This record gives sequence, structure tokens and C-alpha cells, in this order.
Amino acid sequence: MLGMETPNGTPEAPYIQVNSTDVPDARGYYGQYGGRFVPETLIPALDELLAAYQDAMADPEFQARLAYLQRTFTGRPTPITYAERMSRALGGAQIYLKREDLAHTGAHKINNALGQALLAKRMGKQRVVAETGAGQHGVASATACAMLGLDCIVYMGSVDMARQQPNVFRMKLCGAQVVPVESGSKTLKDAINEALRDWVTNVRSTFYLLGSALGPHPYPMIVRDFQSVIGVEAREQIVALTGRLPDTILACVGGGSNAIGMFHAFRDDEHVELIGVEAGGRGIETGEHAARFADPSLGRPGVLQGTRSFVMQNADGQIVNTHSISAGLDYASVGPEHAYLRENERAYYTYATDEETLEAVKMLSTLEGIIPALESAHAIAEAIKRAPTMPKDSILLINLSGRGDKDLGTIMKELGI
Amino acid sequence: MIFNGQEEERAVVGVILTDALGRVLLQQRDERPELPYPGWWTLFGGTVEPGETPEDAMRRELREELDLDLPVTHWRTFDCPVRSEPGQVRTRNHQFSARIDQPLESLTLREGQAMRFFEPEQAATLELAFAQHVILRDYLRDVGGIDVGSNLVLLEPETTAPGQRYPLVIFLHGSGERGDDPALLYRHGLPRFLQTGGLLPESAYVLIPQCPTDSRWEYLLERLDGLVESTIHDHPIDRNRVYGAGFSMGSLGLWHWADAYPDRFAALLPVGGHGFKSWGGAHFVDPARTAGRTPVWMIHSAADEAVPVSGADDFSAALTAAGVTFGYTRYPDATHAQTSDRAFWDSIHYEWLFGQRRRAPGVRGVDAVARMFEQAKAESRSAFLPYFPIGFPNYTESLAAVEAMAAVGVDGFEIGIPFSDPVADGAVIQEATQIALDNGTTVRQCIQAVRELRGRGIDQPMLLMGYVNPLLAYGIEAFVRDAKAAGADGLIVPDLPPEEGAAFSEICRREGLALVFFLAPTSSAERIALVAPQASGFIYVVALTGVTGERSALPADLTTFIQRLRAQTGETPLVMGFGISRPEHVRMVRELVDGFIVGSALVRAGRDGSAAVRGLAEALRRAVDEE
Repeated sequence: MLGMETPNGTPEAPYIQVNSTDVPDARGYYGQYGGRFVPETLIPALDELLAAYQDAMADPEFQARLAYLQRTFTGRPTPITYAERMSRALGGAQIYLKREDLAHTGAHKINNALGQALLAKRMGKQRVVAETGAGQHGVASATACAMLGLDCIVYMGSVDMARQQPNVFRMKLCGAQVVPVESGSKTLKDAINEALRDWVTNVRSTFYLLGSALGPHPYPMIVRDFQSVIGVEAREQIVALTGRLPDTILACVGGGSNAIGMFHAFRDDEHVELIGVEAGGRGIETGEHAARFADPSLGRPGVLQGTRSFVMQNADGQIVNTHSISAGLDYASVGPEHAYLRENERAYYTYATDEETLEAVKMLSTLEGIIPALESAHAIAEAIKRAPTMPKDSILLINLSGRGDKDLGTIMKELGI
Repeated sequence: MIFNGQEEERAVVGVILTDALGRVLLQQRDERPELPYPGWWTLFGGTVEPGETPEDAMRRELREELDLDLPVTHWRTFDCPVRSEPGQVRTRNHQFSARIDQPLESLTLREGQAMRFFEPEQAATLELAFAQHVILRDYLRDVGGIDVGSNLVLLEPETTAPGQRYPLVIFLHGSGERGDDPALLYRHGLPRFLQTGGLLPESAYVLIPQCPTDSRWEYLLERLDGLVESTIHDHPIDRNRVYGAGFSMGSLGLWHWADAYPDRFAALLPVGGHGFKSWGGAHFVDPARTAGRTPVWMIHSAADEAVPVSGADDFSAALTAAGVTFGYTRYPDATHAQTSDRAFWDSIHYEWLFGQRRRAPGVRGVDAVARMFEQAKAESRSAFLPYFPIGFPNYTESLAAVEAMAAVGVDGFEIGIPFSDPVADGAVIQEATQIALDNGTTVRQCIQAVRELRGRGIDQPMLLMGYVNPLLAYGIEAFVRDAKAAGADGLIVPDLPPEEGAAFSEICRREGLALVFFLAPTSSAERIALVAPQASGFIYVVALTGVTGERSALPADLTTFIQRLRAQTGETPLVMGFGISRPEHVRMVRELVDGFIVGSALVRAGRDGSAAVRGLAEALRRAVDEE
């Protein structure tokens, strides 16, 4: 049951459940993945963040405030949509979409941004820094900060700024300062580096609002917990709608926050198959992709940006440039909990190429009238491959993590519309 | 010889045939000019054919050369220096031994012009084809108990003052003075100079050994070095002022000696000879490596009729290319013998020689780091540790920058390993390390850089500074071991807090390398208590919250911060970094901490070349002492 705010502001049950699984351990590890590989200056800040987070989660008032804003500001719960024509067209599994694209700002990112921004406010940190890839987390952060009266600085790779123009405008409109990052590959990874450098410099006054389930402990846990609302809602909704749990769940995986938020509530439902879809870019054999799990020649356990996980690197341990048509999946590492779920075979990971992704955008738009974000379309692409192989009475649940408005430029160019 | 593993592999075999009396059967090669080593004595043996084992090949060769089917026993396998070229070919020489009981008369020689049994003592003095004499001597020493002897003369100062220690000069003569007659020793060089009334700049011991006929100095190194050791033991000699002088073959011996015993000499004066590419026990002389560790002044003549000047010129070019400082007197018109007279009668050469002092012998690792702080403390000052990344602006220039800083008396180095995502670094170092990566700089090259810098005689502690992922990719254990073998003293990993560093800590402790951890202005008392005991070498104190980079001013509350740390860190040296870039910063922190690090400012200077780096390092170093 989701805890909902009552008239006097106290929920019947906590909106966000913490410590609901055995991971991470006290050191922030998910099996052999995770940890805190950061400069010493940040260690006290991470300790402070962890303490503040635990304190907030134990505070019914904080939980109630978050639940209230999720309902009245974000528009939760988001619905589940039965994709009837698409199911029929593919001729197999019945396809359901968890509509995170309908959340305020157009993606699941707001769930975490709102939670962390409330935490920043509670910790008395007026200045918030964030990184962004596709711009969805940047927009969510800018929005939450605007609503809560916090100063927001968003670091964004200049390559990503070019391909996600509408989101840059949205952030600026909400009063955020968008700082272009020119170092490295000028994408998400480099934006995180710059955000970390800002944080290490202004650590006493600044809250780092990290947008995906990665980075040093406790970030992967905090982001997962704030995103777990996706799975909690979806689990209740699909049961209410169909009378049972889904057979298979699909979600795209960049850093992996929408996937972990969806998977989390189903972890103990052993017969529910969990599948993450990485960015296959121009194909694994080209090396131009961001499929950390699919390419053993590049994706190996390593340490990037504070956490030990699968990392795309060369033989000398230098991080390689990744490629994806979707800025949000274009990242060299993946959240540590995904590496852990994969190792324990609780979740499986596959990939979709740029080309398959564009086909999926087209199909979902024409058959269902829903334009998915390029990120989310990776999960749709996998459904196109998988649904026909599944029985007609099986249920395939897809986390439609965001809407495609931000990608119209790219999509129109690629599809020649 | 250093192979890179890419060489084409070849295999040859040889056998030491001995009879019941320990005599060695050798073969004399044909006198055909197209053959290598025509007419030289050699061991029986040959080339391993495809598909053959070395043992098969050896037995086949014995059948072909001597019509004998003998069981052979593998003794050792060597790299053959004559038939190898690092990077191209590596020839493995599989050496066997066998007992031969047949009398000479009953043997049929099918290859070569002659064969005979040599007494072991005589065999040990021969020079064999393909440098096989080294193998035979090793065998005779190990198996036959044969030693190779020499005469010697020790000239002592006329009077010695109690408590006073004196320099020792060793003179190695040329090939014509070999034998058993000590009178021969005074024919050339330093002994003749002294006998005819020449005076050294100060009282000294002079040791003049004599090489046996048919032998060469480089075969006697172990014995020579033992001789010097016992001479130092028996006389009031200053161990840091042992000088090597030589003429012709003696100069070649000196190069080999100093190469094999880098801690022996304070300086070398090789005259009319050089360490040409020759068999030297186990390897060629690498002039840069040897002269990088032991100062050398070469003397040669363009008109030398016995030893062409080209060899000395080659050495001079190699040393110049490697950036090694050395001396070279090149006479235009002297004969071989006249070169010796001129060189040893020229007081400039003695003055230079007697001015040299041996560098402190190699204490490395965490002890070297501790010694660095002790020394700075003894001089009541703070230690200066510059940072510089390998590969910026390119490999060669980065080494030149480190070398330039070493020359102005910095105390130690942080040697940067580039990483694609350096989150603790500011723009200047990010940009520099990206250039290094674009140049193809690898972790392996950074380790190699330390080895090369050590080879050039840089003795200051060097700590490798790199982010965790490239080190994990290399393998922690392999990295620590290779870094140590190259001469590194410790490790600094900015994204490795102690709670993630257990594996690194354990390996570093076992290998005796320092593993530096950080403390920051944000560190709480609990945090300091946790980190301080784990750090070895020193604690890296981050001066301000932020990334590396130059700042116009340092925070005002540094004193309070350091006092807070000192209360908990005890004797562990504190080294401050981040933001220190100007002499006024140095003056601000020098009283406060045991050492300080400057990075970005030097890296920025590095864009303008090593002279600019040197200039800034010098200014910062001066700021350590000046009022």
C-alpha cells in the first residue's frame, strides 16, 4: 500500500520505504559493486547526506510532504495504459505501459529530483548543483528548485545541449543556470565530473542533486528509493487491472534509475522476469554504443565517478567515449545495483540499436498515439522483438520513462520527416 | 639486455664437454673470412631446427660434428647477446654438459679446423667465439671451482691524519699491460703520471690491479669489486669518494663495472676507450643508464688509431639524447698512447674527478620518504614536492621537466599518471593529462618513466599519483610491484579513501611502499582519527575545499586547520597541496607543514618547456629558505 497524506498531513504508512532489501550493505556495496571512491573532501558530505536521508525517511512529516507534492505537483500516481493496438500488431504478449511520461516535466526524473530537493531544503543547503544528459533530470531539478525556492546550477555537456535544446530552454525558464561542459566527450559523464568538481569546491553550502542510481554511496540507494514509487504503483495497478502480476518487465538502462525504480518492487516476485535494455548505438560490433554489459571487450568491472560497477574502458583503464542516439543512455557506466542484479541473475540485460529505437518510436506513435522519449523507446524496441515470442495471455509491462517532445528534432532528422 | 617480448625467438645449443680430469674439449673454427669468428675457439653446438627439442638438436650436432652419440645434460639457458637485438631477435642459448671418455685420437672432427682438450685453468683465460667464454667461465667457477686471479699494486698516501678519510682511485690498464709483470703497470696513464712525480689534487689511495693475459676486466668485475670492498675495509677510505680511471681496455672495464655496480663509484674517467656494445657478463652497457647513475668524463682523440673515436662519439650522442650531463674531452690529433699521456697529465680532469661525491645509495620506498622529511627537518625547512604528469606535453619533455626540477633541489616528486576522468583536478591538469592521453601515454609508460628517471640519477623520492580505475585495470598487485621495481617510493590515489583501500594498503605495506591518504578542511575529528593511522609516508592535506588549481590566495584559517590535524596525527608528516602556486604561498605554508605540493602552476609552466618549469621550481624552492 502506498502511504498517502491524510488531512492532518500524517501518512498511514511511509510514502518511501527504506531498508526494504539486503542491499546496499553498511559500506554502500551491492555484492562487489558500489562503494565510495571519491576525494576525501566529499566523504564527510556523503556521511552528512546519508544521516540526513535516514533522518528524513524516519520523519512522518517529511514523508507526508513528499507524498503531497508527488500527488499535487508531479501528478502521481501515473496511470498504466493498455497498448491494445500494438499488442495486436505484434501478435503475442499483452503490452502495458507505465506512463512516467505523464509525470510533471515529462519523465520519471521528477520523482527523485523532488525527493532530493526536499532533502536539500531540510539540510539547509540553498545551492543545488545537478548534472544532466538528456536534460530531463536537469529540467526536473530546475522545476523542483523553482517550486521550493532553491538556487539551481545544472551542468550539461555541450554535445547534449545541442541535441536537447528544448530542455535547455525549459531549465533556463525555471531560473536554473545551465553550465556547458566542454571537457572529455562533452556528454553526461563529463557533466557529472563537473558537478562533482563544483560540489567538492562548494561542499559546505551546496547539495549535489544526482539524477541517476549511480555515483558514490548513498546516491544509488537514495535515487532507487525515491524512484521505487514507480514499481510500487505499477505493481498495484497491474494487479488491479489484470488480476495478476506481469510475466516480464522492460525498462531502458542508462545509469538505470527508471529501471531500478520499476524493478525494486518486483524483486521478490521471482517469477516476474526483469529485463534492462541498454543502448546498442550503431551496433555492438562497431564499438560505438553504451551497452556496458553486452560488450566484454569494453565493458568490464571498474571504478567511475565514485562507484564500482561495469565501466566501458580500454585496456589501460581509460574511460572510452560512448555513443547512443539518446543522450540519457549515453553513459560509460551503469548503476551498481544493476551489476549486482545481473550477477545474481535476478535481472537480465539486453540492448537495442539506434535504428531499432527509431522504429520503436514510429510504431508506438502511430499505433498508440504516444511519442516516447528516445531513451524509453529502447524498451519499446525490445518489446517489439520479444512480444511476438510470448503467449497471447502473457503480460509485458514496459516502463515508459519519458515522453519524446524533447527528441523531436533528432527524430525528425533521423526519420526524414 | 631488455627484451620487449615482441622479438622473433631463435634457439641455439652448445655443450661443455669435459673428460675425467676436468679438461674441456673445444673446437677451432675454420679460417674462412665469410664466417663470423674465423679461427676462434668455440664450444660444440649449433642451431635448433624446426620441430626439434634443444636436446635433440644438441645430440644431432654432436653426431654431425664429432660422429658421437652422447647423452647430454641441460645445464642453463642464456640469452645470447651476440645473436640478439632487443626489439628484433631474441636468441636463447641452451647450454648442455656432457662427459666425454673417448681419447682425442679416437674422435673424428667433421667441422672446424682443429680440436683439443684444455686444462680448466687455461680454458678460463680464453676468449671464445659468440662470447661463450662467459658461459664457460661460469661453468668452471660453479662446477670446476676455478678462480680467475690478478696482481695488484696499492699506492698509499705518505702520511695519513688520524680520523681523516681519503679518496680511492682505481686505475684499470689497457690490453698491453696484461700479464704477471707488475712493471708493465707503469707504462701508461695514472701510474706513469704518479711514478714520474705527478701529484693528485689531494692525498689519496690508488689501487692498480693487473689483468691476466687473455682475460678482460669485464670478466673480473665481481673480484674487482670485492677487492675494492676489502681495500675500503682495511684503510681509512671515504666510501663516497671512490673514483674509477681507465685507459683503453680499462675504460671499457670501467663502464661495465659502473653499470653492474651503480653504487660503487663517485665518478669515472674513461680514457681512450668506451663501453662499446660487447658482452659484459649479462648485458650491454647502456650509456645513459650508467652515466645517469655515475658521473662520467670521457676522453678520446679523433686521431686514435687503436680505438676509433666513433664509439666515444656514439656514447656522447646517446648521453646527449637522454639528457644526461657528462664531460667529454676530444683531442684532435693525439695517437692512442698520446691520449693517455695528455689526459692523465691534465689537472682539469683530476679536479673534476676529485670534486665528485657518490650519491646516497638506494634507500627506497617508505624509508626514502621518511628520510626526505628527516633531511628537510634537519635543515629546519619544509619539503617541496612538485607534481608533474607523464606524457605532457609529450613523454620526453615530461621527463625533462622532472629532471630540471630535480636539478634545482626539490625534495621529492608526485609523478602523475593521466586519467580520462580526473574529478579531483582543475582545468590545467585536466587539459594536460588529456594531452598526455592523446599522446598515447599508458600506465606502463609512467612506470617506465620512473625507471628512466632513476637511470638518470634522480634520487629524490617519487610517488606515483593516479586515479583508481587505471590502476585496477593494470592489476593492483602488478602495479605496486612494477612501480617498486622501477624505483617508485609510494602511491597517491585521490579517489581512494582508506575504507576502499584495504587491498592497496596491504600490498603497499608488504612491498614497503608509502600509501598516502588525504585529509581535508571538511574532515571531522572522527574522520581524522580513522584516516591518520592508515596513511604511510605522509598525510596529504587538502588546503581548501575544491579541485587542484592555482588560487590567488590561500584560506586564512590554515593555521587553525593544521593545529586541529596535528593534535590527532602526531608524528606523521603533513604535506599540503591544492592551490599552492606562488612563492608567497610557500612562505605562508612553510612554517606550518612538513611539506607542500605544487602542481597546476608547474604544469602550466610546462607548456613553455622544461626551462620554464625549472625557473618556477627554482623560485618556489628559494621561497622555502629565504626570509
